[in-house]
Amino acid sequence: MASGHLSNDDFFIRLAELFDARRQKDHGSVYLTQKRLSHPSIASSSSSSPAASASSDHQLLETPVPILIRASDGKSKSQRNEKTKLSTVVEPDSLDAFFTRYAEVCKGGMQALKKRDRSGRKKAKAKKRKADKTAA
Amino acid sequence: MVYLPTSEQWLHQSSLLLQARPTTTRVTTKYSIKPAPISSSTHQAAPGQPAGNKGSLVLKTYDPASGVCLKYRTDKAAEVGRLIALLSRLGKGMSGQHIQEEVAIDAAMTDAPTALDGESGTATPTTTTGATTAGATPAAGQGQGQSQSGGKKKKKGKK
Repeated sequence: MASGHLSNDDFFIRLAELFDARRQKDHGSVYLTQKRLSHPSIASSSSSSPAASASSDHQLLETPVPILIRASDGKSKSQRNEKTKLSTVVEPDSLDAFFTRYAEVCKGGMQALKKRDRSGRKKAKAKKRKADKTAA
Repeated sequence: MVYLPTSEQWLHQSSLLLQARPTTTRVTTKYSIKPAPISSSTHQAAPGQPAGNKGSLVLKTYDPASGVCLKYRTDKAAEVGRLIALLSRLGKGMSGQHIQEEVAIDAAMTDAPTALDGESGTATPTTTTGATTAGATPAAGQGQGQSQSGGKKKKKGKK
């Protein structure tokens, strides 16, 4: 990626902006992806022998690997110029702290989801009413 | 492509996939907003809400190497925090650390070769905890519960 990885802090700032931009429109998506970082140093050391790469497939590594977090607004190829792409690398040590903030940003950003209390009560009431009507 | 009925099952299956293919598996969270439908489902949207925009959240675990794709869909804001916590756990698995063992992952890990037996066994306790999310099931679960074992077989076969 041309812009390179952002620091975790910058990533959160930009991610919040991405959600905000989404909120102002009535449609669109935000894509968040996480995967193991295939680190250049690891790749080069393991590419020497197939056995080494097989061992990197092993589920518990001796040294934990950072993970890569990406975010995008899912703009298609035709709108590539406007496409927002963010990425950051999270070190194993800071995973917990990262996901705590991540949860906050996502909760703040995903406002179009159904709120629990309101819709739940109203639905329950509506259901009751319906049930009463059908019973009567 | 499989939609799993509960987030617990999604986590369970996803962590299995992640253990099988830790280097290629990725987890994508898609948050999308669709404009409110004009006529049909306006009665579904709570009238108190300002804009009738309908958001949805889809968690997807995908392994391009084997083509396994596991999904979970919700539209409940209340679930976001919990789902991110699941992402956090999977993130730990990705980085090569132990995934926390609340979800009976270890049991599934040890008898991974006989996973199809172990799977139904370990899936049942998660559904009991999933009772809290039962409200999400009518929206998310589309009766594809059985096909999850199909996706599962596929994965094991290629492994």
